[in-house]
Amino acid sequence: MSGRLVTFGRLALVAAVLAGGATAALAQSAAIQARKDILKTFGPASRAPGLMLRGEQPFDLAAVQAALKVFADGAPKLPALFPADSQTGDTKALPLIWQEKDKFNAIFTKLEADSKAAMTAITNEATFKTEMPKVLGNCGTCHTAYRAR
Amino acid sequence: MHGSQTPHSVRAWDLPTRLFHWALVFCIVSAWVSFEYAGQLGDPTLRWHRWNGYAILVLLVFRILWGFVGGSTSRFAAFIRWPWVALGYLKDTLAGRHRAYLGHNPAGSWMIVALIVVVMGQAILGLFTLEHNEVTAGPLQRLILDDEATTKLVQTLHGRGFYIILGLAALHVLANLLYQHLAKDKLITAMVTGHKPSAAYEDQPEATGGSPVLALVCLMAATAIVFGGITLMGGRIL
Repeated sequence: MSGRLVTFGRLALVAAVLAGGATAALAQSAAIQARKDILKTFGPASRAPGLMLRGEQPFDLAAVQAALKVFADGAPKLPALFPADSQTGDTKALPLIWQEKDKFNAIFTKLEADSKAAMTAITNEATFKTEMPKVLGNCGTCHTAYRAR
Repeated sequence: MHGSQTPHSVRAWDLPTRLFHWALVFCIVSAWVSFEYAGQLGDPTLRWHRWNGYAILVLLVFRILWGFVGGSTSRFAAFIRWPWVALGYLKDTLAGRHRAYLGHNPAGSWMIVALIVVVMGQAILGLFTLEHNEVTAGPLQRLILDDEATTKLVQTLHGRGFYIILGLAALHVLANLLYQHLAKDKLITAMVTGHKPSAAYEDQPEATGGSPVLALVCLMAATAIVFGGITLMGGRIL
């Protein structure tokens, strides 16, 4: 009888450990997934302004404002989505992020501030050409330093 | 002619080739810096990087033209030798039998060809490259605008091309440092001053200088070829 209990106990222990591990893994990939979901809205949003900057598409103020709103809304959510336990997994995030977290987070703060400032500063094509690169420059600053290539 | 030089020194390189060489060194370093630190340098649209690329293309086209009409050591006909000659030279050199050349030695000449081809390839790829955030692009990217697979491939190749250049340049610099300090054949000094001590060189005893007027014509032709070519292909120079 006690043999069965021991067996059950062993099984329960293994199951608990597995479940715990799975939960941790899921929570970890949840942060990775959440930040990817936000960042994946940034790419398509920047596409039209990029084409306008390169002269491949006519200037469209409404589309530019829409893109800026995507950045301004998404940026403040990102710092919390890089917890210490989300360094590994299906991610291109480099370890350097967690070595200089403040510097890394500051880019999101700047992206939000730059986007909001550009929302009022950009009124026509001329202001778009001078102001938009300042906003989009944050993408490159972050990606060259903190994203694996 | 040799007023400031010692009587035992002979011309090894003409001035246009030396200017080309050091300008290219500067441009390659600056191409990397202007991409890697674009944000910090306040140039998110990579204006400097793009014009740097045009400059590299002009320099390389100039060098190719100069390889036909330049000073005697700058001409391709003077330094491109059969690959097995280069291998024989390398074998001798590694065995400690140093054979002195005034211009490019047979092995070095293939490094020159490799560098010209690879840097040229990298610069041409850059013309078609879409910056990784799609903020900016090379002038010919619009030709493949709707072809996502090719755009991605070009992006990857332009990114990796840098490491190929880095590898070749490292080998090139290392070899020259070894010649300069171990073999006492002052190749680096010669690329700066244009002169080498007079000796029994295997290729030629002394180089001719090349015409400054021809050099200017080559430079203007190179500029016209690069910018005219991009425009004719439908590129938009930003």
